[in-house]
Amino acid sequence: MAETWQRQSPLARRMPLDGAARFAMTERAFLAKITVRGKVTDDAVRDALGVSLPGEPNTASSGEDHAILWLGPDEWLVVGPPESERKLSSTLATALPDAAVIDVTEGYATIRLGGPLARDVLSMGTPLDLHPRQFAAGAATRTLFARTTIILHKVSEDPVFDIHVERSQAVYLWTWLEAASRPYMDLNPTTRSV
Amino acid sequence: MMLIPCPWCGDRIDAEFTCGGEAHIVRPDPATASDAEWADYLFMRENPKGLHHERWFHAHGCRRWFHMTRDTVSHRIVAVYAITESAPEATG
Repeated sequence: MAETWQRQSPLARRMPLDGAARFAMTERAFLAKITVRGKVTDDAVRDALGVSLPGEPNTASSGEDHAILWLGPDEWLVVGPPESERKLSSTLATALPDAAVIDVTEGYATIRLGGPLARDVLSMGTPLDLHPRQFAAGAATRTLFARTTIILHKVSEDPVFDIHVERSQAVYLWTWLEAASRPYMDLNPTTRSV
Repeated sequence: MMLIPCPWCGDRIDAEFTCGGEAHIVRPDPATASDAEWADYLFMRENPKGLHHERWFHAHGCRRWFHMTRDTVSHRIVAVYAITESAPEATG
């Protein structure tokens, strides 16, 4: 973890978008993100975090503070509140002795999309079927989006999506989403600060 | 665009995958193989017009390897099976 005083999100200078409740885009800065790979038992995870492992591929389970995203048959991404990565990774490393627990907090940025048009904007970057029938609340997957790899998580029944993207791709993806959302928003270009 | 049925993730766009080439190549024993056999193992690949067993990698998804039997003429996907399994009989 970087020292707090010199820590800066790659999206620190980007203004959130708020398109009259139809489409909104904000950064969720400094969320704790831990990848877990290897032998992981549901009991151990539940004892440590109070959240069960997601039972099905391409799903996530969420508790009060934590979400666990299925990324592969032996790979998960644990997302927690900001500033919790040290505690979270040591908790997980203790609870899961047969797994690799890696703190990737600084490696990923997280963008949250919301609003009834969020699905339309996302559909411009991926052929994945994002209809709630196919991609319901709690769905999560790594996928190709606008030529970069993202981890997409449908957070709730409402159209709210979290995108975890590698740090070096974050600004590219943010500006791509800005451009993709422009036709859907009544934004005056002169008032935009980016 | 081609949809590839990943055994874990379901149908995904082909751009998410990497093709690992011909499957089920058996490594000969280097102590007893002739130069010709070894060269055949290293370099020579089938290039069939029709059904072909291939290895595929879901690089931008679950990052798992799997086997796929694909028709090289029509791109029809005949079978998808685990990386540990041998080719299904019926698909030649």
